Amino acid sequence: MLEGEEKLIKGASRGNAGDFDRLYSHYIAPIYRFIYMKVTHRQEAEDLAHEVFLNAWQGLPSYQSRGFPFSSWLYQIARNKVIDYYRLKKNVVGLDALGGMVDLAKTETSVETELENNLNLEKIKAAIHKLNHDQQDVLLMRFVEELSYKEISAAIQKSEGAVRLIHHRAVKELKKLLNGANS
Amino acid sequence: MENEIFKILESARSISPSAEFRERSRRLIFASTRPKNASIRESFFGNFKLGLTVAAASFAILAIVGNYFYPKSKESSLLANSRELLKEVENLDFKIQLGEIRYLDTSAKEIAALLKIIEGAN
Repeated sequence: MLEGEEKLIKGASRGNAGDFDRLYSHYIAPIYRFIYMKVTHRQEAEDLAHEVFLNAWQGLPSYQSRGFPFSSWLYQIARNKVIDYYRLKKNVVGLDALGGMVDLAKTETSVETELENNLNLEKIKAAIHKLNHDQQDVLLMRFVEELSYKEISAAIQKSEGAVRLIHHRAVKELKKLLNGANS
Repeated sequence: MENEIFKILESARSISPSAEFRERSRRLIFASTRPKNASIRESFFGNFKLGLTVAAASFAILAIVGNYFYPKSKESSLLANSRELLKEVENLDFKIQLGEIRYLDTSAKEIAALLKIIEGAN
């Protein structure tokens, strides 16, 4: 959570662009990452992430926290955007055909390690895409974004117990898929 | 296996949008017009809620105040009415009694006079 977040949210909902800009800077990367892991195309992930923040900026005057973090609200918007995206675009290109498109930030690791990581990530992403939407969201929010079960439950509008169950099933299913792919 | 999966998923934390995209997206967001109806709707419901609360509070105060004063006034007016009624009844009785005495007196005299006439005739 961002320091002084409540104040920033209030300011942004009153139309203060500076306050919203700070919220944007803090949350754009995790929201983009979440979308990117679900749609795979960099361009589409950018478009959807932009739409999430545009909706947030326009919808902030009616935003009510109800005890949940602001990030849960953003993930909720992102989640709906991805669902709409898949609803509109039924003919999604398979991940296998997108080799080498992973947009990882440059790190100090060697080219060889980076390539290996990318390929492994591609494989896991392909397996994740075979899970249902809830399982995908819970896995990504939990392992990539490190959200708590409470935050995830607010974002996907399900009870914490249900989120734990989805998480358990998702991990089991993912292992099964990866084992099947390896054999 | 599980740990390996999580390790690879954790490596995805380094994915981030380009600076160029961030800048473009920001500019587009702040150039967009914010719909006014959302805030109007909010303020309407906000005012409506406030109005409803004030009305409910006023009603509750009226009910409490009314409950406190109403039975007393009712009681006192009932008492006053009953007292007046009793007085009226008492007066009425008294008037009836006087009327009866007067009637009995005159009728007794008339009867005595009639008896005398009858005796004289005999």
